[in-house]
Amino acid sequence: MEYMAKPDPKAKIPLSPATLYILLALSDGDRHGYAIIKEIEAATDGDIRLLPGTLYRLIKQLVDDRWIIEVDDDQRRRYYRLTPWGRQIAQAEVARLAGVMRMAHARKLDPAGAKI
Amino acid sequence: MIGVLRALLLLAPYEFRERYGRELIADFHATLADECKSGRSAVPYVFRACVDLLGTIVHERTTTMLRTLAYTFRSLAHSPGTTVAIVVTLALATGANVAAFSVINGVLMHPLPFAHAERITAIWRTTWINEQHCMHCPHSPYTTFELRAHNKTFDAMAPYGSFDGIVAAGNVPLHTGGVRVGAEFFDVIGVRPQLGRGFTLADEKATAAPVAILSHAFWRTALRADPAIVGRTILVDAKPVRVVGVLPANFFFPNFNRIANEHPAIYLVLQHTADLTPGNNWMGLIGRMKAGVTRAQAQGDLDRITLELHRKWPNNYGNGARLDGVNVVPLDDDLFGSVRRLLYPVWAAVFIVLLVACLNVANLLLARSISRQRATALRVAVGATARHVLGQIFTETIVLSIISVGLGLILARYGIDVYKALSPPGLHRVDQIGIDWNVGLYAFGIALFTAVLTSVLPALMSMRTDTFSLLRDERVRGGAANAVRSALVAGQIACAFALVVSCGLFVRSFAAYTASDLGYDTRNGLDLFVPPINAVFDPTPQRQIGYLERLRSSLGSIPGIRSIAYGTSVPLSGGTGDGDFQVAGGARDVDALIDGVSPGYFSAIGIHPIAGRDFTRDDRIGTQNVVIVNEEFVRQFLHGARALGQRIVRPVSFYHKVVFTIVGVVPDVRLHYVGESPYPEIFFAADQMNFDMSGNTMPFYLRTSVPPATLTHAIANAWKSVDPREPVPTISSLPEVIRQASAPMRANAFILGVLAMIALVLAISGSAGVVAYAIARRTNEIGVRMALGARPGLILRTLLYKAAIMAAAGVALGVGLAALTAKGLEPQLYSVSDFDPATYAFVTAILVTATIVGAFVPAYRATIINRSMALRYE
Repeated sequence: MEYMAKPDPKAKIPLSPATLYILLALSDGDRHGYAIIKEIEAATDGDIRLLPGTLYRLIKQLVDDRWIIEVDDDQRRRYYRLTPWGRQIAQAEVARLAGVMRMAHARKLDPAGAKI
Repeated sequence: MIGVLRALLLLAPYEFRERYGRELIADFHATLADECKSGRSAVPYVFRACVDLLGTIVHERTTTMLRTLAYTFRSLAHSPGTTVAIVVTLALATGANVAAFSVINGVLMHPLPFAHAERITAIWRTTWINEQHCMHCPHSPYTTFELRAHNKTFDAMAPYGSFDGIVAAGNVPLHTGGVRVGAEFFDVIGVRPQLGRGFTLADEKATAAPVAILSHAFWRTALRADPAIVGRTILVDAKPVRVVGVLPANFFFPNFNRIANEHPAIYLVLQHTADLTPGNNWMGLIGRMKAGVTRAQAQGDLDRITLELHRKWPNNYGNGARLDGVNVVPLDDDLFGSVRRLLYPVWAAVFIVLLVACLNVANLLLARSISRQRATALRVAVGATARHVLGQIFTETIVLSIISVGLGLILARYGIDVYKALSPPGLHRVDQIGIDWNVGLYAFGIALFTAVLTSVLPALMSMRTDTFSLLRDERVRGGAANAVRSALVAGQIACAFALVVSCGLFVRSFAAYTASDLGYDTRNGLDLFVPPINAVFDPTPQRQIGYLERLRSSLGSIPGIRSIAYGTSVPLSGGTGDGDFQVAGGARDVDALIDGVSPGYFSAIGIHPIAGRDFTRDDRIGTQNVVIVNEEFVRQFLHGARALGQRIVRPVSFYHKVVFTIVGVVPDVRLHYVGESPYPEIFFAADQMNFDMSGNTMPFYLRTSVPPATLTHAIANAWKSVDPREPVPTISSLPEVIRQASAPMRANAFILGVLAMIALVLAISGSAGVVAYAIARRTNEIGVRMALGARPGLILRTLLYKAAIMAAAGVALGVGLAALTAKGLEPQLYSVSDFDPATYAFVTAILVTATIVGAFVPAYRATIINRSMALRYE
C-alpha cells in the first residue's frame, strides 16, 4: 500500500443541512431510510421532513463516499451505519456550527431562549 | 398515487433504480400514511415528493453522464491515431452529405411563393413525334384559348411564351427578354402586382390598347424604380404599350419545363382575334384547378375538350390513329422534376460515401475493441454489467459522430460554395442554398445514424466476449471478428465500385457529348445573338432586311471572317418553332420545324444541298416563294419521292394560305441540340419571310479563320458603324455553347469523381487495415514458418490472396449495386448505356489492382520484419 496523506475531515465541510441531519440521525445507531426521516422529523419538532427522493440521492452519495455503509441484518429493510470517517466529518461540522453560534451569541443575534 | 412515483422512477438511471427503488417506494408509502394519519391532504405531499424525485433523477443522470463522458474522452485520447482517423473519415463523409442536403433543401424544399400552390398545374400537349410520345410539348395559342373557354375544372388558365424585343422606356433602347401571357396568368399563380393592376380579359382583345406589366428588377434598374411608371407609355419593338403594373420583388417566374425566357423583364398580354386557327405551337399553359378538384378530374375534363377539338380539326390534333392529348402535371413536378433528376444521384452518392465511411469506422472500432478485449473482460470481472460496456460503446460512437458532424458542418459550408460554383446555369434558387435549421436537423440525424451504424458491430462482438477464457488465456480470439471485418471491407469495395462506375459513366457521357458528331463543323463557329432588328426605328420587314444586308457587308469587311449567314436559329441555340403544313397532294396536315435562313447559311455551317440549290439573293419578297427541306422531311412526308418542285402550303390564318416550292434538300444535321434525333424541318428564305419578325430574333452565324475570341471587339465596332443606336449582340462560340450544354454532366462527373475517390481510398485503407491486422495477429506463425524455410514469396502470396478474396467478393457485390445506381442515372447519360461493359471492366480492374496493391505494403513489410523478429518473439 502506498503512502497516503491522512485525510482531513475539515476539507469536507461545510455540509448541506440535510446531509448533516442524516449523519446526526445515524450517530446513535443503525437506521433504515424511513427511520432516518422520522428521527429527523422528531428531533426538529416536525420542521424538517426529508422527502424520499432527496434522502436516497444523499444516501447514495454518502455510501459512495464511504461516510456511511449499508448493513444487511434485516431481509426486508436496508440499514445504514455511520463510519468512523463519517463521524469525524460530522464532528468537524458540528464544531464549525458551534463556532458560528458563539459568534452569533457575542453579537446577541441568537434567538431568545437558545442555549449553548 | 404510488404509480406516479413508480413511473417517474423509470426515468432514473438503472443503477440507482436497482439499488434504491424498492426502499424509496416503501419510504414514500410510509410517509404518505403518516401524512394521511395527521389529517392533512395527501395531494400537496405527493406533488412535492414527485418534484423532489425528479430533481434527484436529473442529478443522478447528469453525474452518470459526466462520468461516462470523462471515461470516453480518456479512452479516445488513449488511441489518438484511431480517433483522428475516425473523425477525419466521418467528417469528410458527413460534410459531403450535409452539403448535398443543403443544396436539395435550398433548391427543392423551400415552399413556392404561390398561394395554394398544390392547385397549380402545368398543362402540356402530348403528341407523337416520329416514334416518340412527347409528353411536354407546347400548344398553339388557339388550343390554349379553347381549353380555357370550355373547361369546367379550372378557376383560371393562362398560356405563356417567350418573346425578345427592344424596349425603349428610358433614354436607351434595351434588348430585353419577356413573355406573352394570357390575361389570367397572375391569377393562376396567385400573385398581385406591387404597383398598379394585373391583366384583365378585356386586355386580350385584338382591338384593346396593348398593356404591359414590368418585373421588379427591370423597373428598378432600367426605370430607376420610377414610382409614377404605372400609366406611362413605353415602346416595345417601336409599338406603344401602356404600363399597368409592376411585380413584387420576390416574384418567381414559374418557368415550366424551361419553355420560356428565364427571367422575363416584361409581361405582355397575348392578344387574339376571332379567326385564330390551330398550328404554331409555341405556348406553355398553366392553370389553377378549382378547390376540391383532383388532377385526374382535371385531366378527364381537358381530355374531353381535346377530343372535341380533334373532331373539329382532324388534321391538327393527331397523326392518323395517334391523337394529340393533354398532360396535366402538378406544378412541383414540372418545375423541379429535372432538377431532382440532377440532384438525387448526387445525394445517393454522398449517402454511399457515408455508408463506406461508417463501414470503415465500424472496422476501426472493431479492431480496437478486439485489442481491448482483455481490458473489457477485466471490467466485467470487477462488476461492470453488459449495460455498462454497451453504454460505453454507444457513448463513444455518439461522441465521435457528434464531433465529426460538427467538423462536417464546417466542411459543408465550403462544399456548398464549391457546388454553387459548379452548378449548372439556370438552376433555380441557387441563392437559397445555405445552412439553416433543416440542415442542422439533418446533420443531427446523420450523427445518430452513423453512431448507431458504427456501434452495432463492436457492441455485438463485445457481447460475444467470453470473459473467463479471455482472462485465463493470453491469446486473443479474433477469428470471427476478422471474418466480419473482411465482410465489411467487401461491402466498402462494393459501394466504391458503384460510385466509380457512376462517375465513369458520366465521364464517358461527357466525352461522347463534347466529341459528338453534329453533322457539321463546329470549330471556329460563332453565334451572334442579334436583338430584333432595328425595330425601334422602323419595323417594316423591308427595312429590317435592308438593315441585315448592311450589317452583313459591314461584318464581311472584318479580316478573319470567312463566311456570314443569318437565320431564325443559329447552330445549337436551342429550340425552334414548329407549324402545320399541307403537302400539295397530301390529305392531311403535317408538323415540321420551321427556320428562316439567309443565302449562304448552309455553306457557312459547312453542309451542302444533296439535291437542288441553296437560297440566293434573288429569293426575295416578290419572287417565287421557295423552301429547302431536310432529308427527314422527304423521308416522312414525300415518302422518298422526288422533292424538288413539290409544293407545300402554309396556312397563315384561316383565310390566307401561302404556297411554297421546294428548291433544295439538305442532309439531316443536329442544328438545335446536341443529340437531337432527326425531325422534319422546313427552311424558308429569311429574306422572303413576309411575316412580322419583330417577335423573332434573327441571329448571325459567322465562321472565322482565326480564333473567334480575337474578333469580339471588331464585331462590336462593325455593328456600331451600321447604326450606333442598335444594341450590340451577345456573342458565343459554338465550342462554348457545347461546353455549357455539357456543364451538368461535367459537374456530375466531377462531384461523383471526388466522392468515388474518397470511397476508393477508404475501401483500400480498410482492406489494407484488415491485412495488416491479420499479419499482426499471426506474427508468430509467420515467423516460425519463415524460420522453418518458407519462402517470403509464398507468405506474401498467402497474404495477398486474402486481399484478392475481399476484392473479388466486393466487386461481385458491387456489380449488382452499380447496375441499380446506373439505372437511376440513365436519363442523364448521353450515348452510353447504363450497363456499359467497358466501364464495368475498367473499374473492376482498377479496384482489384488497388486493393491488392494496398494490401501489398503491409504484407511485404511483414515478410521483411519477420525474418529478424520471428525467433525473438517465441
